[in-house]
Amino acid sequence: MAFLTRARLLLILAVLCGFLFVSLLASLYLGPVQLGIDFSEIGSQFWNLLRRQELSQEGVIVFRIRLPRALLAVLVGGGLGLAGASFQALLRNPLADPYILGVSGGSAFTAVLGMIFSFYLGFAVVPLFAFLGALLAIFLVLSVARIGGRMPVLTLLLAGVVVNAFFSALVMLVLSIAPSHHLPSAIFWMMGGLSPKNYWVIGLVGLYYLPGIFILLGMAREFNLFSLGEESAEQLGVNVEKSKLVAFIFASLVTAVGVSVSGLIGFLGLIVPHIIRLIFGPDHRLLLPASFIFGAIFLIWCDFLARMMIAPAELPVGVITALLGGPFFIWLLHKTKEILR
Amino acid sequence: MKALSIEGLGFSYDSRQVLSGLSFDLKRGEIMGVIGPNGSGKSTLIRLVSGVLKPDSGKIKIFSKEIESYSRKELAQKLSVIPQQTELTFPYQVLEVVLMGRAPYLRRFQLEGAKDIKIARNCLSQTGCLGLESRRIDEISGGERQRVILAKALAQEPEVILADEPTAHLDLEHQIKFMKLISDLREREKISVLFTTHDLNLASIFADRILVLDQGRLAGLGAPKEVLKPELMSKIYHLKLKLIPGIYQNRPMLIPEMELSNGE
Amino acid sequence: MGKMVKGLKVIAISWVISLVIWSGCKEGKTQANDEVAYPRIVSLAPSITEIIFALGIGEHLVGVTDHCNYPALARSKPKLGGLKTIGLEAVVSKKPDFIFATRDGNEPNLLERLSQLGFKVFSFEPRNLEQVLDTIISIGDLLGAEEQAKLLVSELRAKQNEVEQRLEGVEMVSVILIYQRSPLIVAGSGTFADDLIKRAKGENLAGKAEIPYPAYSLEEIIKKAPAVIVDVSMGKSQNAQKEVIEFWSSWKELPAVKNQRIYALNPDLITRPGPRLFDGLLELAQKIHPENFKVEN
Repeated sequence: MAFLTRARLLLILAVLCGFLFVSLLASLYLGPVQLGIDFSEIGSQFWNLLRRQELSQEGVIVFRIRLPRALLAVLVGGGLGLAGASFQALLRNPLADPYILGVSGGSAFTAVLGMIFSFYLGFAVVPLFAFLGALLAIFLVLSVARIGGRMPVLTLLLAGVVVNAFFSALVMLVLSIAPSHHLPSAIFWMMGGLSPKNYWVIGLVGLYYLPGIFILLGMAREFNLFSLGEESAEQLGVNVEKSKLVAFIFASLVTAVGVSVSGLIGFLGLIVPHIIRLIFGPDHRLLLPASFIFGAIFLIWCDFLARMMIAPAELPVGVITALLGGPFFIWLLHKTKEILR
Repeated sequence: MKALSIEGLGFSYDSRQVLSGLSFDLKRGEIMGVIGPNGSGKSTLIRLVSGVLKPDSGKIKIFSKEIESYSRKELAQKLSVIPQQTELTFPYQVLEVVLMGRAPYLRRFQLEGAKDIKIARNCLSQTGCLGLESRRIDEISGGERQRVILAKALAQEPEVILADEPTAHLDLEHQIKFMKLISDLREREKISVLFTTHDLNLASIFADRILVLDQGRLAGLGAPKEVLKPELMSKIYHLKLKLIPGIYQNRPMLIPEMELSNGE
Repeated sequence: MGKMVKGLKVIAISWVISLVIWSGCKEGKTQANDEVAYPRIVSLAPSITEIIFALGIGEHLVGVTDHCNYPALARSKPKLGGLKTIGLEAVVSKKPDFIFATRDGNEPNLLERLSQLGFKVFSFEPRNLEQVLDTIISIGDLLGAEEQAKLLVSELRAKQNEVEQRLEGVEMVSVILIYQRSPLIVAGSGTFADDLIKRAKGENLAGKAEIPYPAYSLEEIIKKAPAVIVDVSMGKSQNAQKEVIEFWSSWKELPAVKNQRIYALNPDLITRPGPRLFDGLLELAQKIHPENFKVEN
């Protein structure tokens, strides 16, 4: 395996983008409802979509149901893959995932509250509440873990575990005394799913993702240097404390945006970076963008399974990612044992 | 110009005074060994000079410029560090690790270019590791790894190398090889080296001068034969030491005087 | 009584008509729906499915949930998923003119999206018997079945009045209704069961707290010592009554056990806000005050 040159980087990313494009097209064509292929028809429907004119039934299915969903999968899957790789680098721990530092607990708690009060406030508040909960968790973790301008990784991890545990307990409390018709909604939210959204929301979500994605991609070198240890990184010119803070905040924000629109889709942020690392090596300048693209591809296909397995009913996509998570861990353990031997 | 100039350095940690009133110079092209018992402040000294820790009092000057006036990157271009052990979270290849040493010269989104690769390979060949280029860092031996880390430190094109017990985990062969490499580098590139060690005799053989730390204070500074005297060493290490004079160019060696239980 | 027979006749005739139409459409699975006359209706809740069939317009249903199991015809309607897992594409592909849903049971995102796509979505949240009747009228109005709706409502009211007449002046009997065994969940205030129990002149001993589905311990039930226990946890199987009695008979301290006042009941009769809620009322009344229902019928 050669090291990273610009040519190799661009080639690999281009190939991955190719796979992503193919996956996108596949997810538009394949689904619970059979479609006939008629390219001119598809073209004219797409044109109608852009001109905001009425679509045929097939047009509605492809362009107002499947395409938004696929785009959402790209954003959320990509974000989770990127955030997962970033947390693994920040915490110098291959078992880290995007939810480990409190975001899952905080957002679950406020999302459930949002669901309960949605009767009065309208259901649109739930994503907003979820996002605020994630911010709250981030703030709590920072206050606990940051001591005198420094943020030791171990303290960060512990703070995340504590905040998650605390909020999970609150979620259980709320669910046990709330009117029980909220229970299924809460559970499905926590499983994570790509619920139907319109293009305006997706565009907004994309905008919220952009700064975080850009900043995290820019931290690739720091992440590489972190792997040698914080002092080594510092001695190579990295402002370690500032980098850790920036990485933590933006990786958490990227995770929070995804969580607010799609709940807690698990395992993706953990598995995707490992697979990329296995195939292409640990250099973050390739790992980060590749984790984004592969995360998008991964979620598109998991969502495909979620739509097809019990068609016409739809499973929450988090069920699929969790089903894949178990075997993945077994395989990872097997591989680790081989290395240790 | 002196490579390093330390004046009145003081540092405390958790209300424990680790270093106080330390002053010394490191000449350009000099190899200085720092010895002293556990807790005497050797590692802290390295971390202070490399800029990772900030001193409570005193001045650190690198090539007559105060350390604060260097940006992190500028400092990394002048000074590189070899720690006792390097973390290895992810399985990078040897060449990738050495290329990390070029980081201080690269901008944020810039990839390493042909020049950087040439320098990295050169450093690998200087440390005798060229054949390891594509091997994974977690798959090579401890001795090889330490030499790769040295290559990385060299890739920074430093003028000063700080090494914190660099031979602590190496077997005898690799200890000697490593220190010989340091000597060669000093000869060829005029790199100044400050290293800490527990091995008095290694320091005696390879260092131009030895600095002795005891409880954070300077307890001796000078050529090995001036400093490695039994009276001073015995006081510091609480052991009776016997001197074996000048085996290598007037460099003394010390061994402990002991009564063994089987009456030898 | 006469009204009831007339109502049954209407239902029977509608059923036969539905059957005829349905058998005519049996060939070809998805195409069949294309032949269903206007309006095309999707029901996203079992209670609404029941209402639509009771209105006699069941043949217009082009999509129901997996849980829509009553009447029998509903089971052969195309399925769109469970309450929370309705497939959006599946709904859209049925080209519905009307989509009926419940805000609590269904996923709000889905309903929102269906509205955005231009479909007519109507949500209903009946919380007691009266509101069920209102729902029936609303659905009837929307679907051009006002007459059938009025008819259905009057039949159901008749059932209700029958019960109330028979129970006039009767003393309240203490009741606890049990939804499930482990954990032990009973019917609290705000549930349909609570409403029905009250109308059946029962005193719901679990109805004081504000929680609709409180989890009780067995001791709590023993302490409260209801005169009647209704246990719906065993569903509608034939053996339900036997099993329920067997389970509770080990708690001999309970007056309900001593006096053999333990009853099983089909949970669908007391949880679905549809026409069968009135059947549930009748059954509860018969179980709580059997002496008032001993006459023929």
